[in-house]
Amino acid sequence: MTLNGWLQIALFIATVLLLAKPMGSYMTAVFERRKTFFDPMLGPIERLLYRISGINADEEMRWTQYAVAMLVFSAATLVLTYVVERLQAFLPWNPQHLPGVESSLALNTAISFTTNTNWQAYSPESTMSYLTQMLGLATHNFWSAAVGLALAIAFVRGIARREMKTIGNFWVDLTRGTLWILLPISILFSFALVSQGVVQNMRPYDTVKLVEPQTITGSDGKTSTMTTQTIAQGPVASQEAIKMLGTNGGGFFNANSAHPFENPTPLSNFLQMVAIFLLPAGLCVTLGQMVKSPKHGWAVLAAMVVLWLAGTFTAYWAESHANPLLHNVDAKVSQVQSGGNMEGKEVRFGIANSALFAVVTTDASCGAVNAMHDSFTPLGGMVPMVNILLGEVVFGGVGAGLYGMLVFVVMAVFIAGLMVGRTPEYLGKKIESFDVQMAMLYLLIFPLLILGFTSVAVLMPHLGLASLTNHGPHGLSEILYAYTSATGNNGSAFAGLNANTHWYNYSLGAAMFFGRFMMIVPMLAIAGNLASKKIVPASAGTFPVTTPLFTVLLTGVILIVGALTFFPVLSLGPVLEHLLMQAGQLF
Amino acid sequence: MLDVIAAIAFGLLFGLAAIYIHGCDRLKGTRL
Repeated sequence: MTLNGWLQIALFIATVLLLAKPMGSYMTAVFERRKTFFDPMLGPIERLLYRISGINADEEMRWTQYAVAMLVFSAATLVLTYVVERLQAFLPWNPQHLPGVESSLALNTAISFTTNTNWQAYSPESTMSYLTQMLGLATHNFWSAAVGLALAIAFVRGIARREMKTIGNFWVDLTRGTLWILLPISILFSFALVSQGVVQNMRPYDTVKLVEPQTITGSDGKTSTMTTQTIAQGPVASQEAIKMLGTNGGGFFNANSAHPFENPTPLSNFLQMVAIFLLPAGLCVTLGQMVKSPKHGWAVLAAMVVLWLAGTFTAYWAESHANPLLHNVDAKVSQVQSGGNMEGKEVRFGIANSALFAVVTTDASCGAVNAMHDSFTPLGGMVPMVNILLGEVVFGGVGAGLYGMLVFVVMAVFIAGLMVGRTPEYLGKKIESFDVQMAMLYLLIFPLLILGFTSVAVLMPHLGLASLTNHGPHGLSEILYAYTSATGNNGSAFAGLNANTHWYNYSLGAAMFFGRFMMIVPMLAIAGNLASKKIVPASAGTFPVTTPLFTVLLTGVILIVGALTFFPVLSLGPVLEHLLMQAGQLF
Repeated sequence: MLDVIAAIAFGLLFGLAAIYIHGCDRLKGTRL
């Protein structure tokens, strides 16, 4: 670890925290339908959209109506993406004449982008046409993020309202989140990325002559000499901006944010990381403002920062150490090299910015990568996995992080109530059996899906294990990471696993679907129930949710739930791999 | 053929999700 590395990490979090308040205040104004700078431009578009689709913007919804509207919207957009993928060969903007996407892969990808996962079991530049990338995938980057925003705001309304049966209007929240928040910021961010060298065009791919011809030997033993290289192009900057801002993560190119056309410079890398945390950090401020307890929002944000720092320190420390089995290799930091474990990392980012990016992208449900997580040291690679296993509540996905964190808040308050023997209260609302039942449903579905699917995959040699590149504990990590990433709607890949098979396309598709919708429903049920409750005046026995003690309790609950659930499987995967590496065995 | 499987999968998944919403709503007021 170097001072320079830590200064860059400090600059990153300082920037995020500085932007949290203006971003959060703006989002509060947008969702409370107060006046904003963009109203003269976007107001007429909003009204036109409501008129065309027959929506009464003043009509409020119960939580069940809100959930059904969200499902209907997700189903419609999912089918659209599937159809576009299957028919891309007959549609325009396909200069490479790519064929239609295979059915199981199209299904997997449609679910993946609808659920904000952006798991990619394909190489985009050789599979998806420009039209599919834009109409089928980039649109979902906006929609799925806007759905997450809407859901988080619905939960916050549930906390803020008293004796009401409704939690807002899904269509209004979706529209305002897209038009007022995601679109303007991503347009601005696209220009910033173009300034750094991210490409934005509709040209056919370039073919260039290699400076040094390469001779390669194929699997059939035949050798051939390559004299040219194809360089993929495309409308990258516009997709890259919302990919990070909406915590989507699906790369335009297979190498994702390690590709020089997606993430060319250290500055573009810095901006991309800030973009991932921008809305989740701002939403904590929005929470505080909407529930009229700004300190509560900051206390929740503080818990996120503590967990982010723990992950960053661990990953940075682990990656700063080279593989101990590399003998006679100078792996020390110097003026001319990064030192440590540089396998799978870009030289232009180095150890600190690769470790930080891995932590940020998995704390949030982004899933973009600028380094290959499979090449991290066992403990360094465990950090991204643990971040997702904790429920991606450390900043988290746009909206999804906040509502996930608020379910943990309900549990923390419940546990605090049990400890002092009083009925738990959260901001004046009594937490009762239905709330805790729904919170437990939310928390239990997650490990059930991850551990269930992983167990089935490792027990089936011809389906689950056949896709592995590495075996032993590293192989378990590859499968565990895939189901963790899918269920957590993260989308980053550990790599080393061929996921484009019928088994993985269907099972990971199911994990993504259930990991999204089966968790949203109990969360909305809590919101609806909280909205209907009376406010109880605070008393001496009320547990304050604005203090450092609350932050410590919340952090502790998240860690304990995560550790109790997943420590056994982690000990069989990355922990065992670390111990065996120290003993001289690699996988 | 696989498109038919995909269509059935869509219907099944979203149908299950709708039943799940109903189930969670019904759970309110029920002692487990």
